[in-house]
Amino acid sequence: MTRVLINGAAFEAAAGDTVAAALIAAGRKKFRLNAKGAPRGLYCGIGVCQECLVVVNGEANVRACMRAIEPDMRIDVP
Amino acid sequence: MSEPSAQPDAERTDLPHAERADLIVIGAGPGGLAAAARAAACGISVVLLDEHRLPGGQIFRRPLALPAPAVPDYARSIQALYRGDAVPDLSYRPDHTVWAISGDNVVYAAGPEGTRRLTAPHIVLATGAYEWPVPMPGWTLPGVMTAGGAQSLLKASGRVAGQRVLVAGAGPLILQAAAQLAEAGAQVVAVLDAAPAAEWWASAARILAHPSLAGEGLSLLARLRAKRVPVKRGWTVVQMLGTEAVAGALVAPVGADGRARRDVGEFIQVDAVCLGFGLIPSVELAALRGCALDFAPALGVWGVRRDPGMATSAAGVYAVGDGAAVHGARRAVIEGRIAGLAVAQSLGRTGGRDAAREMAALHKGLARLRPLDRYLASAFRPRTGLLDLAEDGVVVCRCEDVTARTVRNEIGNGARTLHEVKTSCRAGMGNCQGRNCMPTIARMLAAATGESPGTFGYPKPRPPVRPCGATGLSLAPASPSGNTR
Ligand SMILES: Cc1cc2nc3c(=O)[nH]c(=O)nc-3n(C[C@H](O)[C@H](O)[C@H](O)COP(=O)(O)OP(=O)(O)OC[C@H]3O[C@@H](n4cnc5c(N)ncnc54)[C@H](O)[C@@H]3O)c2cc1C
Ligand code: FES
Repeated sequence: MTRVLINGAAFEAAAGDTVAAALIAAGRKKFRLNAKGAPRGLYCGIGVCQECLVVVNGEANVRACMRAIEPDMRIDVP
Repeated sequence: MSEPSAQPDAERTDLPHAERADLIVIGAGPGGLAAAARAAACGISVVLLDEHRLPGGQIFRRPLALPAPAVPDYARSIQALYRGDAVPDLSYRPDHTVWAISGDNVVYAAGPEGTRRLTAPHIVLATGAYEWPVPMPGWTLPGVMTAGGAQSLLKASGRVAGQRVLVAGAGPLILQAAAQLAEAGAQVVAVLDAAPAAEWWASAARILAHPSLAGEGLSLLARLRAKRVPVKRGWTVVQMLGTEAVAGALVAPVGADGRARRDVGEFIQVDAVCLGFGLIPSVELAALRGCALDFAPALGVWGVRRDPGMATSAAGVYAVGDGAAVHGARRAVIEGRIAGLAVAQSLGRTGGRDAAREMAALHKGLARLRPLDRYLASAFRPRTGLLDLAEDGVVVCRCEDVTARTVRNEIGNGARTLHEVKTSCRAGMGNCQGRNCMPTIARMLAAATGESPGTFGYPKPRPPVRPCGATGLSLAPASPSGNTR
């Protein structure tokens, strides 16, 4: 297991998960709000659509479906 | 079609030297792996780049923590690379996203240590496909995703996208996705295939008549039956409902005219919807490199123009697999081997084997797959009724939040090219570079003008065609040779 922090709360994800997989395992489908405040989540799942952008360790615009989790990674979602 | 450039990228003195190889393969799916394996077997130095962490591409996605399973027979030639065996002369670089190619074959790849430049006289593009976006009310809600995306999530991490899942679309991939999701513990409430029953059974008969495909098709149907997943032919989803995430879907039968009959629609409660209406080749790197593209009217998508040896119109550049034309993994493997062998032939290094005979055998293999090609072309064709679902209030360009109404207004105001629509309302100017909205906008233009969607060209890509990291852009190629079609 790999511990990540989702909005500050610890979550035990599986080693090798992507950020998207960890978020979904934690029951979170809403990954970001678009410019108009509408919720968006995982869509293409393969790095093409850029809908799944999240904030990881303070870095914005990270594709959740492509980035691998790391121990104590901070993932921030709305 | 290369634009003349002041200075070839390979000779830039303001940057570290570009690493050299005989061949660079972009994409480690079945097509790219087959090309890399074939060329490396001839002693050709190959660099294989892929943005995922493991080889295998979309069909053979797997968890990082587990050993690679055996691949099906048709993919035996890629088993060693898929397993991660070291192969002489081959350097596999996972986690590298190619975001540009210059007119003189310098490849820009963003990896964990930033962007690297690599160059080779030969490049094989094996970039695969992505799912056809079908705008409809509610399709931007979290929990609504592509069937392939749900499959990738499941195959790579064992996670199911929801508890009560609706799978809808057309063709074989939705059936596979539904079977896998059900076997992983999701309750798949239904698979809706937009093909009417008569079309569906005619296609099925064609597949069943093909010895090597029949087994796969039958076992898929048996798996769905075992999990009691209802398959409804001639039905489609027309709307998703929810506020923070999807909570339900409206489904409806497809009428004889191909249009969904909302008046007799039904509501289903779900927490995930997986959509799969077909695939679009990822041609952006080919277009950026200046390879000629062709519009396939029957499929409604752009593909890469190739000769029988998989060579594109750009010198030294080959294209294989679903990234050139969507024909599935079996064909991708054969095309990859053809390209790998063609590179060896052009370098005069076929290793003493009878290359001409091998090439002929590979082409025979392609010919044997024609029934599958025809089935996919029919299943994945853009269906008449789908565009109707993009009602005025529906978001067409997800990145810039542009609605169908805005696009139709711009067309009403005289926009006649994809570029004009783009500059007038920002559709296609966002992060995905129009990959998600341009196919729909081309169809909207076609509907308004009576012309083929191909008339409106393929929008010229700009680097970075994929995310290049914080420092990448400062290295941007001096001579991207864009394709303007
Ligand atoms: C999401 C999805 C799921 C699918 N699942 C199945 C399935 O379960 N069964 C099935 O029969 N078919 C599936 N398909 C169809 C699939 O496209 C083909 O059958 C097969 O995988 C095609 O092989 P390929 O080598 O052409 O491309 P792919 O397998 O798609 O491989 C292309 C590779 O190129 C990489 N790539 C692309 N662009 C870049 C870049 N710029 N930089 C670096 N790397 C890049 C990608 O990461 C990918 O690994 C799926 C398609 C999609 C889109
Ligand atoms: S879901 Fe499309 S890029 Fe991540």
